[in-house]
Amino acid sequence: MPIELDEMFRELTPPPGGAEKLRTRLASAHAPRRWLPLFAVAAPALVAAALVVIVALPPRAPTAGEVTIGTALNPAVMRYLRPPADDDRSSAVSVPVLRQRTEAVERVDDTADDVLFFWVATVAGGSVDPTGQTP
Amino acid sequence: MMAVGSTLTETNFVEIYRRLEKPLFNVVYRWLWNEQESADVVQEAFLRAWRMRERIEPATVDPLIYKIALNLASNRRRARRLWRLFSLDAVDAGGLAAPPTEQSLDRRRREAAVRRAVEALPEGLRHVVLLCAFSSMSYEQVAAILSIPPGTVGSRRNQALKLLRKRLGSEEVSDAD
Repeated sequence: MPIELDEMFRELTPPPGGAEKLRTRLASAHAPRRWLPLFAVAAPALVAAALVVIVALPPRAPTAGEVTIGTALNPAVMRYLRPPADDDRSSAVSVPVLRQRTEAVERVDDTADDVLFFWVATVAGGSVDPTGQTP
Repeated sequence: MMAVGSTLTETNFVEIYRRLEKPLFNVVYRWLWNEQESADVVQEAFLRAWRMRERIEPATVDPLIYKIALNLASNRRRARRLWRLFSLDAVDAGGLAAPPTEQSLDRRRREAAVRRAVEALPEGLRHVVLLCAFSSMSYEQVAAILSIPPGTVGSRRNQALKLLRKRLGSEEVSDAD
């Protein structure tokens, strides 16, 4: 029995519930747009709040847990933290300083960037003081 | 179709979906030959159009959705072909499900023959013949979707139908087959 061309053009019915499914998906497609401005405000605010907390906290010796984690992370973190050779901080904060925790930090600028740098470096394995004193 | 100058709201977008779902599904199905995948592509095409609704002229939303759906279907076909290159499981899942009654076997043989005939068409002809058959759009609109001159739509459609008739005429599906 030969096949007619109509066979090819026979209309099929799509699975039911497509419109409802689309309605739900359209509603959820709205969501990111509504949340986007909130994230845009909240993310910098959270970072700023974290920096304020970091600045406000007094220098302290790391806990035993922080030392353990910091020692493990130290090489990896320092790979990113170590400043370029021509940066004057290179003589102040270096791997040996943080590893041995005995030498003073010569200078840590009072900027958010440096405070963050200092804080990460401290948690990562050293106990250092912005005034240059070692505990 | 919506008037020029009006805006796309969720309600009229769903209305457009209700109107286009069936023809679009039929076009996409002849690309993917899989019901679920075709339904997914139709939904995805609408979602993509919805995300760019602020840049869409509502009067041209139908051809745009067809265009998106065809591109998505082509991408899926390519991905599927690539996947089959690296997969041992090349069996068509759709061919495994139905119970083996004589009637369903005959229907499946016919579908397979139609599929072979459609697949044998060059891509350009296949697009044209499917859109002309299911979308109820004018040659001008089909031409706009495929970025070809309207005259080419007519000639490609005739050429495709001739090839299909020839191919399907040679496909004999007997009861004893």
